[in-house]
Amino acid sequence: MVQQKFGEISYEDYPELTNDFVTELKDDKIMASVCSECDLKYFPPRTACENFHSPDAMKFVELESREAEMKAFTIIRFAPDSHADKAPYVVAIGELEDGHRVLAQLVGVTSLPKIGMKLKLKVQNVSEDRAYYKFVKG
Amino acid sequence: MESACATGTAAIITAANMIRSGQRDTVLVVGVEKMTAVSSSVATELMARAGDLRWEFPFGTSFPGYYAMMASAHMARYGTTKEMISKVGVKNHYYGSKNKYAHIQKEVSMEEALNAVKIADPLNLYDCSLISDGAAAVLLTKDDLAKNFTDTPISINGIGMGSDTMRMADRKSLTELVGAQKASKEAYQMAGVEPSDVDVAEVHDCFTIAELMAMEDLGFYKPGEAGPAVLDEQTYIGGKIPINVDGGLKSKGHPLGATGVSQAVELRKQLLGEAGERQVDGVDVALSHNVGQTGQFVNVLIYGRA
Repeated sequence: MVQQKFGEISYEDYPELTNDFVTELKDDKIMASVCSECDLKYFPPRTACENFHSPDAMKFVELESREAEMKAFTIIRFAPDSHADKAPYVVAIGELEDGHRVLAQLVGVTSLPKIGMKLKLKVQNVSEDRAYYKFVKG
Repeated sequence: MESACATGTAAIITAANMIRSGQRDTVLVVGVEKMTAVSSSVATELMARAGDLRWEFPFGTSFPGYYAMMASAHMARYGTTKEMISKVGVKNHYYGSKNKYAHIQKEVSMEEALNAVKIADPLNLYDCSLISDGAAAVLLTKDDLAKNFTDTPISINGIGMGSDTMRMADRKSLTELVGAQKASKEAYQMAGVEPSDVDVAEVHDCFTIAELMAMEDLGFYKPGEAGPAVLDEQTYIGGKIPINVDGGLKSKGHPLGATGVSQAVELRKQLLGEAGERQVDGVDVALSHNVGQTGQFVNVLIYGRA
């Protein structure tokens, strides 16, 4: 089985979590993690709960809603070296309906994005071993 | 020491605590960074990896990008304008032009600052600190040994440290740095002073928006009031609270590990009346604010004459 990675360009440091997460993404499922000890939910997922620390207690649950509201954005024109050929691109922080905030690229917008606009997370397949989520207009 | 861009003050605080605990009598703190050996895009890449590597870096995040997002949130929430943000760069370049140790000793007009090449909207070239080579050092020692080194010692009267989440999207507010609020509260309390007692401040203007947020986090202004105050030139010498009158990270430069130490060097000059044409009148209380990452580490130090 090929190791699954998040994004088009990444520096993996916890391949097991990302492997499991991206495997689900490929099935069009966006997973959060929830602690079975205290029910605290994390998105993006984590390997351990900040209260109970045990990796065994963390389980994947599918994100209930992909709708989000934009809290911040930028258009990156001078990019890090590894992304230089992709610039300009829009990066935004959106707040999901369950309160979790997530950062992702916003694609497909033709006018200047606005704080407060409705966004939606969408799964993007890249290749056999890569996928990620992105924001599109909600 | 490693605390990202707050490393310089983290080293000073560590040295101060080593001396106060009796572990050492005297400690030399040296901050040094050489950044220009690589291209700006490689430097941007290496610094970007100080942010969240797993869930954010794959989207091409950069530090200008992170602070640009904070700027977008500040503008939307408080009506802060691009002109207010740019004015910080104009001021810091004005003072940098008068500092012989500044990396870029050049004045910038408001027109140039508003129309410079865009880096990460709404931030452009004159909103971003410099990729610099630089070094600074301070010698810390016990009160009763200080006279062996100098007739005019400076004392650390307040120390505060604060932190926040590593992943920026985990924060509930993007218009403030909670770590800076905590750190400054702690430092003011230890020094027994109020924000209004501060005569001159060195704040971490890695990006111009960061200086506005610092003015609010440090309690000099209420949230949303920093932008208009900057336009009103209240942070110039002679104003309510002179800030970064050495040019700041914007014009003096931002060699990461040296920055916090360089703030101490500048404040020593201000406290001793040795800052020449950049001297602020009657400095008794001097504050340094140094931020690591996008606010994951914040150190605040309050200096006075011993």
